[in-house]
Amino acid sequence: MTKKVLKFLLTAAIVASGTAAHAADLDVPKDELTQETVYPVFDNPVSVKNRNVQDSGAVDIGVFGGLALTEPISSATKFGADINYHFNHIHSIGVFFAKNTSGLSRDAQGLKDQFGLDFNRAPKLDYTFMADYNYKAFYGKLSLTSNGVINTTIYGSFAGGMVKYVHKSYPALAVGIGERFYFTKSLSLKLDLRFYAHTAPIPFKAGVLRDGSQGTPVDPIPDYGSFEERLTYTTNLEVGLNYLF
Amino acid sequence: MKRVLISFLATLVIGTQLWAQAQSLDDQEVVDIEGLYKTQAPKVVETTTTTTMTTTESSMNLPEVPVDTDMEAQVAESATATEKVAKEEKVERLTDLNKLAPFREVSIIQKKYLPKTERFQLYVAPGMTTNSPWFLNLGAKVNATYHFTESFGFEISGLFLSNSERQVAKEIRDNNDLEPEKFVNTKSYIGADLFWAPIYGKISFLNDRIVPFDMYFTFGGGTSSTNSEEGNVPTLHAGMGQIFAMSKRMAFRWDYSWTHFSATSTPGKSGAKGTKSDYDDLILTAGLSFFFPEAKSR
Repeated sequence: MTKKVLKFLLTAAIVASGTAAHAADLDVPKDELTQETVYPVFDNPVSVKNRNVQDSGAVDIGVFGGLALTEPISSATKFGADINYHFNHIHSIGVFFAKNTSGLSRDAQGLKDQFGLDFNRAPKLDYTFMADYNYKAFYGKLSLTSNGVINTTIYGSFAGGMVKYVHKSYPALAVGIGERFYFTKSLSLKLDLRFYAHTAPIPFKAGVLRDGSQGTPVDPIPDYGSFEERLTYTTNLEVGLNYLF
Repeated sequence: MKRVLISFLATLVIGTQLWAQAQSLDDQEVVDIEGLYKTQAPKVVETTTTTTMTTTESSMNLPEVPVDTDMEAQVAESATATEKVAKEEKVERLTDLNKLAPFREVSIIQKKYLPKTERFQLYVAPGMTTNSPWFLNLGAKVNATYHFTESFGFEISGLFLSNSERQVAKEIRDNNDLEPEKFVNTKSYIGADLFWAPIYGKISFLNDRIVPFDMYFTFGGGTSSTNSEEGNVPTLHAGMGQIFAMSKRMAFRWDYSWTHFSATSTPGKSGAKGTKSDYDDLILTAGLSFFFPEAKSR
């Protein structure tokens, strides 16, 4: 009797499993099919967590170029270098230095050409030096046209330091978001979008900017210190290459 | 004894089914086939046998992908030789599986969690212009996309922006008697794009939750409504962004778009004629994408 019951249960189990496992026809796009000859395809989320880029305890050095997207008067371009130490996979801290190029923005050049307002008389940003903390919350792997893997990290950045104008320095803060794309285990493309906040001189001082080029009176050249100051916000986009040692 | 056996079998049958239903493929831990293979990596057999390559074998010609551990590194070293063997010999018996190419992570990343093929995507997001020094342009973007394949689609986009003067605009008016409203700015944009998503990936949040994502690029054009003399001007558009899947029908998406147009500023109070210049807008938006119809099971 016991044997019969067991046989029945085993048969029932096998039939039930077989019925449930009956496969339906699936329509899978060709470009989703893997191009490898592997054992039956499975998904392994752990592989995403397994890090090809071992940045824990490592130092990276990089160079970058940037644009001060919302700078109304001074030249918006800058170039710089940065060095970062990665405490672990999540936290890193570093410093960066960015030197602004001289000259005027396109709008300021237009005002000079059309109205004779020479904003070269106003103090301009010379360089920025900051300590930069990165919180690397996201680490991932991406497939480029299904043929290879690029590793990426997305992080929040919090920076504090100083901005140096031609005549004076001001404390500054910056928050932003960034992403690194690792072409190799060491070389990465680094993108940063930062929002800066700092005190800065107001360049639109009355009675000091006209250079007489458009038939206007010539204003006396002002002292940089005579410009009023206020809190200024600017958006910066930076692109760089970093190498992890 | 009978009760124990019955309970065990019942648990096995019912529990297995429940487990299988509760766990999606993306959440399942892998039965360590990969590990078994790596620990018993096939020996390289020198052979001069040359046979015709099958289609499957010929598609193994992929670039090397970095692997994680020392053991994987060793496997990678032998990968080239293993592929050579696999190319040269067909699989005829079960034991021949050892001659296949070693596992590579591409297959993991390629599996789509949020399929797009033959589906529509509706993207709604707030955003702002990030490169306007004189005006604060806040607004919203609405995109409708049809995806022909996982990689390609056609997208219609609409962007609507407010315009309020920043502090610098007020200062240049008050201190320098200029008219900042003469700076051309965008009120709205409507256009069409080719949508291209060549990059698919998975990203882990704090080494815990895994989020699949696509990275895409858009190229196209349309028309911008501006405060220029022309009003509506033809506009070039390019963009890029990422789509992070939240489910098979919803995703978080960010988009960074560049628009370029030529326009003539309006005459000022003095009657001075406006000048024609090129203008660029960089617009950042972030919001939700909805995909429909329902994804087919896979």
